[in-house]
Amino acid sequence: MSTVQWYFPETLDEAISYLGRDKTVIHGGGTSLIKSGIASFEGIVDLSKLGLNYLKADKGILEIGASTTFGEVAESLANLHPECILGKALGSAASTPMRNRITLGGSVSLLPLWSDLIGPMSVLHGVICTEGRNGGTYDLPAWIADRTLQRGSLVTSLLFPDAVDWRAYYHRETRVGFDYPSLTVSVLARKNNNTIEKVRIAVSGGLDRIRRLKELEERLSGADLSILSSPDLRKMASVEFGGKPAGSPEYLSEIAAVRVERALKAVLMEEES
Amino acid sequence: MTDFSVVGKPLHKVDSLSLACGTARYTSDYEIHEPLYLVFAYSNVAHGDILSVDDAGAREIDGVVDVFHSFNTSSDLFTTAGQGYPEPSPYDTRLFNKRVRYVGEIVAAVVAESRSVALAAAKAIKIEYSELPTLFDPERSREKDAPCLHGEGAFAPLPVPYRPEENVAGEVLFSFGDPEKGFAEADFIVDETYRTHYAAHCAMEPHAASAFFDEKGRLVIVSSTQVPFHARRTVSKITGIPARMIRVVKPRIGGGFGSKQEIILEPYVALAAWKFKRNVKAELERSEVFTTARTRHPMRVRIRTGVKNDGTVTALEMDDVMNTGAYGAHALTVLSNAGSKVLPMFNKIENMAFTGRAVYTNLPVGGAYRGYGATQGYFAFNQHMDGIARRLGVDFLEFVKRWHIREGETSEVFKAIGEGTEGVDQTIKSCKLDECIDRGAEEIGWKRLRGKKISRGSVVKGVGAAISMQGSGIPKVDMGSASMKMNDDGSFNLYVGATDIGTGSDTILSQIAAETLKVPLHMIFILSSDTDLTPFDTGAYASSTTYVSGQAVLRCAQDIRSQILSVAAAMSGSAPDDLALKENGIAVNSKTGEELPFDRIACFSMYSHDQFQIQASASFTGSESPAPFMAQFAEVEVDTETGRVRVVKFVSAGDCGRPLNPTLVEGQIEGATLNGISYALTEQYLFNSKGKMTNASFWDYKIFGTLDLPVMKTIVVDSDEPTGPYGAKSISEIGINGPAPAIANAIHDAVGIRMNELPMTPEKVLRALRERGEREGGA
Amino acid sequence: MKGTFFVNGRAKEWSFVPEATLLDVLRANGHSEVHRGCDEGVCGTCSVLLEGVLVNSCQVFAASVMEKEIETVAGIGTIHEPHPLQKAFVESGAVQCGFCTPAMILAALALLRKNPNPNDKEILSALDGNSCRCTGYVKIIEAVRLAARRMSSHD
Repeated sequence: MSTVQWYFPETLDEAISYLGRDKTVIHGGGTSLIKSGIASFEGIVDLSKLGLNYLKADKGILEIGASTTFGEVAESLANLHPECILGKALGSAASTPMRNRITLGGSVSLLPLWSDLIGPMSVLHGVICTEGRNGGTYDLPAWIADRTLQRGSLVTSLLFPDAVDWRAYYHRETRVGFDYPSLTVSVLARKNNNTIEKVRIAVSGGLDRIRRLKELEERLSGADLSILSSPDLRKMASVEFGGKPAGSPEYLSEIAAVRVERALKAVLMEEES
Repeated sequence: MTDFSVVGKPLHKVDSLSLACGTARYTSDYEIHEPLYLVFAYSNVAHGDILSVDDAGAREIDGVVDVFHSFNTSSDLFTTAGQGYPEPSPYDTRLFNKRVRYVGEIVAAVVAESRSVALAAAKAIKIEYSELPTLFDPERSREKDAPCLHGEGAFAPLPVPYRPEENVAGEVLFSFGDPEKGFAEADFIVDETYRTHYAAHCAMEPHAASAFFDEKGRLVIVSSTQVPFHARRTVSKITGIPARMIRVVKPRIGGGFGSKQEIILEPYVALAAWKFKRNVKAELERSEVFTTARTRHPMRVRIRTGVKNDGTVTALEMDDVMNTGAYGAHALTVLSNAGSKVLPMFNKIENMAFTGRAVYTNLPVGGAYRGYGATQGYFAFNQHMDGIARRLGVDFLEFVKRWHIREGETSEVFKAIGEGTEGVDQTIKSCKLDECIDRGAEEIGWKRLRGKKISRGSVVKGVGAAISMQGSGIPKVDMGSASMKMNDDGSFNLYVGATDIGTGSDTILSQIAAETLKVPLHMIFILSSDTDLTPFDTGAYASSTTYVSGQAVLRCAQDIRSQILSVAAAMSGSAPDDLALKENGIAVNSKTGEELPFDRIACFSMYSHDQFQIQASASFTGSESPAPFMAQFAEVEVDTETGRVRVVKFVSAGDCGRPLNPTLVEGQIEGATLNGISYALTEQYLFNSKGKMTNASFWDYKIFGTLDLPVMKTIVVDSDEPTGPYGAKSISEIGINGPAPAIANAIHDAVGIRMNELPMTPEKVLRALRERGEREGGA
Repeated sequence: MKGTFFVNGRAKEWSFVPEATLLDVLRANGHSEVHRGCDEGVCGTCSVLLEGVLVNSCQVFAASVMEKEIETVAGIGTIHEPHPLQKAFVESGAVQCGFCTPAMILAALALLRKNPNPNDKEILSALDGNSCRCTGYVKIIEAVRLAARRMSSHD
């Protein structure tokens, strides 16, 4: 029988003070702790009283509190910015009841291989704001590179400085509709008539968890739309995968390339829906 | 067509409201006074002898009451299969086997004051194994150097083929005519092998059982079971508790589909309860349901067919190897059905042979699963015939219409293959398969789509079909019975052993009684599946409830009717022949016009004169097993760049005789169909090299949800089975047989590849497309 | 630990262990209408409405939802006065074994409260976290359509 203690801090300082303790973990309202169990911890810090559940959209800059759920983000963005890739991704993740519990903070802390947040974060150049021992603002590569940054600190919000006015396409590869993705493809693009101005492409779920296809991005930037019929496109979208229940490494790699090609064509050549 | 007022109407299920309001109770919802909790520990070794069980650490935990295992608990050999006695399944397992035969086998049971303590104790048990060589490939089970999985005393209680020394858990061999001569006469021979895979039923309610003592000290078992009467008998035999001291009560069941036609939890729960004279509860976690409950038997089906250019099938041989897993529950009978439900379909083939063997492997145990062998057989049969039709240049549906069994016809197969006992000869008395085919083909757009390969980008459309037949109970084996009494307000109590597991049998059996007595449905109160209060029934399996239990209810109600009429006659001073029943529970005297409502008749019989209780009972065993028929159609889109197959539309057209309740018939077809579709495409058991299932969770065992639905259309054709209660046949299993072959045939129609192995995952489809492309020179 | 939960409009003070889920606590205290199908957040049979929002109660720590409003299917209608959704499920033949039914009804209710006239796509999406193995979902969708029609015509 566990003797874990629940804390319900009402200020950030209080919350952070608890985090400094041994064997103490954050509960943002999400579901990951349920899976892993809390019996081995001594303290759980519940964030629900900290007011970190908010979404601000101002001049294309999105600031979202860490305790905001995927469902809340998807619903707000569906009203404010329906074309935003973040809303599309989070709105299709998991299932309706799960989206009502998974939080941005929890998701970015764990960034599991099947994350639906990591792709949009990567292409939107989202940053993570934290308070506490290593408090600061981190971009995704820095955040992923150093997992120790999270110790003793609390994710308070995610910031997306350039969230709108992009053509966006999100694909998650699943076995059935309600499933975690074996890979995701996130594409943002801006074009001017038949010229591709700028494009950002991220594939998640591979061996390096998240990969920006920088070579392909450079090749496409400034190019004419006709480049999308090039047979080289898929070769440049090559990402390595480990084997998963959904498929072998070879299969997933092939599918990822197909999905990237289709995403590019959809986002650049089809009418805005 | 006679006009009925209750039968044939889409009446609400009698239990729907209580289920929708949450007042109905499933096994785990019963409040048990101060229960002990029982939890299992499992083998993590696929094949090995247990050298020692160290339960000291477990017993030390505060709250642990006992730890049962092979060193302190012995039992005779038995089968867990819920079947009539003696069972056609081998007695090859004990409560705790000293030799374990698959990863997930029960090796210990902990009983404790709380579930969390029991779980902690189960983890603390230390078991030492001496590992033995493993056998995972059923097609190698009979090789000389294959490990022998059973030997110490395992036996078959019935005189059926059982050769454990060869790993053969069951065998069916039969032939008629002269197949070799038939092959010699053929213009071409088609020889193809198909493989179906493991599947889980995924009933939403995990297995659960509770045992508690009533005020007289008898043991009451409430269990999520499809077979309460078999459970009582089997628990008594295994534990030694006298059967008269056991009562089994079936509560609401959250789905079975065959997974609960098995006696798994009850003996352990009863044993613990009886030893300590304490109440005991057990519930499996979802992962345990995957590994330790039952599964669909994987099957390798090889069909070899001789065909003449004019379309005559001169000979057909079916050779099945069925993987029964570590133990042989349902081995012989599922294997039998792969032949007995499939081969009669083309009854005009004069030369036929069936060779079937069920073999042991160190893998999860197969059991009863909707379709019960027919599903596996039809996956092979429908693709095989689709291929032959194409080769002949004829339409598959026309080919089927030429060859399938018809009303008035029989097949040698009926007599040849039973289910552990002799087969039973029968003549088809109702078959509307042609109408099912025609109406289904129209609905799916067969002419519009077939062979057209309509495409959009890399996505190609195809359409495919599959036909099947099943049975209605096991003839001369399955027995159901019913009793009724009349109450003084003119209502009736109906007691049936038949087991409603969500199918709605309580409702349709009540409808049969109501129709017979010409009362509205709400005048019948049904109580089912209580070994103290209701008469016997074999249980919910073999699609037997409508046909077999229904006939028992019909006869019982007819007896009640005669009694009512004779009392009415006495009341009106006439002969019983002058009396007839009118709507709404009234007997009317045809000579005088006098009307006698049921409540007056009942009161007269109870209180006035020559008093007696109007009551009756009846039993029924079918002397035949009339087949429902179904034609199912799939429209698919195959993405040739990803291998993904999307079912756009699926049509099921069925003949179940007269549908006693059209809504419930549709519901059975729709549920079975969607289960069949995800079985074909997304469900699979993944094993590591040590025989452990690696995806024992809904996270990685994928079934279709609302985001995956094709457009589904269900057509129920008008039919009438003369031997069935109000013309009914069964419907509950057959719908699951068509989806996999219809989809496979549709994939072939779209992209010309034969998916001979299930499931048809995107990766496998893509690989098959590549291989075909390479064969055709890089197309 | 002890906490107060507002279940179906009633304040309940319950004791529970720190790691208990909302599902554990509800079922331990007489709410057997909330079912346990997988304990992993996939089957959805444990769904309840938490402050009006559909959640898998097996994925929620009881400690984190103290003082909050929880609705189960028993709170929206009774066998003597069923909710229109409960009636619609009965009439449409959407109830077979019934194990998924309470949660399905709550998922539909959460949808209809926000969106009284949903199209089929919206219905399918709202029920995407609720598994049913008996019905093939066909009559469940019909039931939600029927309830939506009836409930909106009453406004």
